[in-house]
Amino acid sequence: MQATLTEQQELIVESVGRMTDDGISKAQGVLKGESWPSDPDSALLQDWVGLGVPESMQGAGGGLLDLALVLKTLALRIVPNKFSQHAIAVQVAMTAGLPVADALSASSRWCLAVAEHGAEPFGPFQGKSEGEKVTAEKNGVPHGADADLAVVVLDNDLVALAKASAIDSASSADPLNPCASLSFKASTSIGVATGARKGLMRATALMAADLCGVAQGAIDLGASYAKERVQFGKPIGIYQGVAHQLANAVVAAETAWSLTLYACWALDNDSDDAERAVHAAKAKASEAAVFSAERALQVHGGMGMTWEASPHLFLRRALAGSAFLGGAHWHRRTLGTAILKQHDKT
Amino acid sequence: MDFSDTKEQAAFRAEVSDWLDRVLVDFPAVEEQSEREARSRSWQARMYADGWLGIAWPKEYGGRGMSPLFEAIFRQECIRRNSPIPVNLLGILLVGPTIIVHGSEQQKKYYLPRILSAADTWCQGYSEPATGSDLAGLKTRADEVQDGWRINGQKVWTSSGHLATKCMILARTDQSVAKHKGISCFLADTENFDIRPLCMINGDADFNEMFIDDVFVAKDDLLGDLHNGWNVAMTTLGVERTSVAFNLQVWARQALDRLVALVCEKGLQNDSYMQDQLGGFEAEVEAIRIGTIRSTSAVAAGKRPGQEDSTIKLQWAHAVQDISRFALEVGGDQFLLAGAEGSDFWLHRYLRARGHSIEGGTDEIQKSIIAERVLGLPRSR
Repeated sequence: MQATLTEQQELIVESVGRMTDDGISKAQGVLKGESWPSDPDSALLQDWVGLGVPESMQGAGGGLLDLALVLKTLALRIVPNKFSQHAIAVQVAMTAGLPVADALSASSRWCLAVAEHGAEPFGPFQGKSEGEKVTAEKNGVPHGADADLAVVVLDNDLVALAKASAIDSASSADPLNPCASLSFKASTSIGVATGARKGLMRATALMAADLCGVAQGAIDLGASYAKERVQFGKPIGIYQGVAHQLANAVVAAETAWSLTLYACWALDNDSDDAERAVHAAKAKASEAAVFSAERALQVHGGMGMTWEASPHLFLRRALAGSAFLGGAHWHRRTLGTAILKQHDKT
Repeated sequence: MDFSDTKEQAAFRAEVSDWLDRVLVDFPAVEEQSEREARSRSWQARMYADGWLGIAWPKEYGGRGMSPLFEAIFRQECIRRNSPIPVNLLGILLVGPTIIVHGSEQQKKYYLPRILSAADTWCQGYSEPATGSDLAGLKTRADEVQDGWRINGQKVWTSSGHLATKCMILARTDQSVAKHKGISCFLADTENFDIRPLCMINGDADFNEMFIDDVFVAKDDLLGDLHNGWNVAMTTLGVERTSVAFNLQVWARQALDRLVALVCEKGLQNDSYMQDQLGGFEAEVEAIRIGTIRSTSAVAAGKRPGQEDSTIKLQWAHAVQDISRFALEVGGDQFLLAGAEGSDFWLHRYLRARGHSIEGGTDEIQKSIIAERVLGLPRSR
C-alpha cells in the first residue's frame, strides 16, 4: 500500500501538461468554427498511443492509471483532441484480445461505438455479428464521423472491429466532442471477440478520469477569475459566498478522483470490487464535472453567460462526458443494486 | 499508486485480523452512554496490553516506530469489524501527536506512554464561549507566579472532559501583543477544574463546560515555547482534521451497512430510488476510505498532506449526516417513537451527526481553508 503517484506518473502529468498550455484558446477556436487543431493530436498519436497497452500487443506497456493520467491532464484545459477517444476505443479492443497494432502506428484512428436507442448503457445490445458480418445501429459515437474504424460493442459480450456502412454526423451539444450515428449493415468486420464488458469497464474508468480533469479545470478557471474580478473594492474570491462554492467543487472533484484512482488500480489488479469501483468513479466524476462547471459559470457572473467566455465550454464537455457510457444516475443505481444484492446473499 | 499490501503489510494485516477476531468476542456492542464508556475503557486496556497502541509513535516513547501505513491497516481492520473506540481517543489522536512535535524530552518520556496506557486520560481545552471559530481571540489567561502560572477562565464543548484527568489547554500569557502572539499551551491537571457535562441534543453528555478558577500549573507544564501556543494549536488542529475522519470513518461505514440492511428489511431492494441513493452513499463512503489511504501514503512518503485533509473532514461529516437522515426517512414515523425497533440507533446517530459539521472546525472554516490553501483565494479574515 503506497497510494501516491510514482515519479514516472508525475512525469506523465508534467509532459502532457506542457502540450495543453493553450488548450482553452484552441477550444475557443473550435467553437468559432476554425479547423480542428493538429496539435497536440499529432504528438499524442505519435508518442503516447501505446501507453496502457502491453508490450506483447506492440504497446508501450504501463497501466490503466498511466493512461488515465494522460486523459485527465488533457481535459484540465479542455484541449481539443481525438486522442482520448481513440485511446479509449483501443482499450476496449485490446481487452477483448483484438489486434490493435494498426491503431498504435498512427495509421488508423478508432472510435468506440456503444450506445443504442432503447438499450441500457452496458447493454444488452441489439447489435450482433453473424460470422464476420456485423449489424448494428449505434449513436452518440464521439469522433465517430471521421474515424477510420469503429470498435463496436455487440450482444453476447462481443466486440467487433468494423467500418460503418453509413455515417450520420449529428450536431453535438459539445463542440469538442462531435458525435455521429454509425450504421453497420452486415458490414465485414476485421475481427470479433468476446470481452466487451471488461473493456467497457476500462473505458468507463478512463471517462471518469477525463471528467475529473474537466472538474479540476473548471475549478481552476473559476478560481483564477475570482482572484481578478473586483467588486465592492475587493477581489470576489474574498467573499465566502463565492469562495465556498468553489471549495464545494474541490470536495466533489477530490471525491471523484480518489474513486477513479482506485477504480483504475482495481481493474488492473483484478480486484473483486473492480466493477463497483468503476460505477462509483463514473457516478461521482460525472456529478463533479457538471457541478464544478456550473460553479465556475456562476462565479463568472454575467460574463459566464456569454458565448465567448469559457465556462460553458467546460459545462458542455462535462455534460457530454457524463452522458457517455452511462450517466451518474445509472451508475449510482447499478452500484446500489450491487450492494443490495450482496447484502441479500449474506 | 498501489493499494495492495506489500508482503510485510499483508503479514501485519493477518496478525491484526487474527488478534481482532480473537478478542472482539469479549466486546459486544452496547448503546447506553455509560456502558459505551466502560467498554471503551476496557478496550483500550486490552489494546495496550497486547501492544496495538502507538503503532506509528517513536519506540523510545512507548510506540512501535512503524510507518503510518501500518497504523492505517490496523484501523481498517478495526472498521471492518466495527470495533470499539479507545477511551483516551483524544489523547491518542490529538494530544500525543502534539506533544511529539512540541514537547520537551522530559514531557515526551513522561506523558506519551501514559497516554497509551490511559494512566492519564486527556481532553482539549481550546474553545471558549466567546471564541469558537475565532480561536485566537481566547480570553482564558495564565499569569506568571512563582514556579509556574495561575490559570483563570472558561472553556466549552470539551469532549470527554468528564472522563479526563489531564487537559491540553490554551491560555493568554501576554495581553499586550496581537491576539495570535500572546497565547501559550499548558498540560494541566483537571483535578481543580470545575467540569460540568452539557447534555447534547441526542441525550448523551460527552461534551462539557469547564470553569477554571485560579488553578496552578507548574513551569514544566508549558508545552512548546512561552507565547508560542498558536503554533501548538495549529499542530493540533491540523492533526484533528485528518485523524477525526480517519478514526471515525467507521461511523459512516457502519451507518451505511445498517441502512442497506434497513432497506432490505423493508423489502425495498427493487425500488430504483433506494438503489440510486444507496449507490451514491456507497461511492461517498468509499471515497473517504480511499482518501484516507492516499493521505496516509503521502505522510508515509514524507510529503505533507495538503488539500485532502479538509476535504476528507467535509466528506465524512456529510456522509454520516446524509446517511442517517435518509435512514430516518426510510424508517418513517416508527423511528421517531422512543423504544421502537431501530429508533434508538438512528435518531441518536442522526442527532449526533449534526455536530460533525461543527466540531473540529466547522464546515465554513474547512471551506475557507480549501479556498485559501488549495485555490489560493484571498483570505477573508
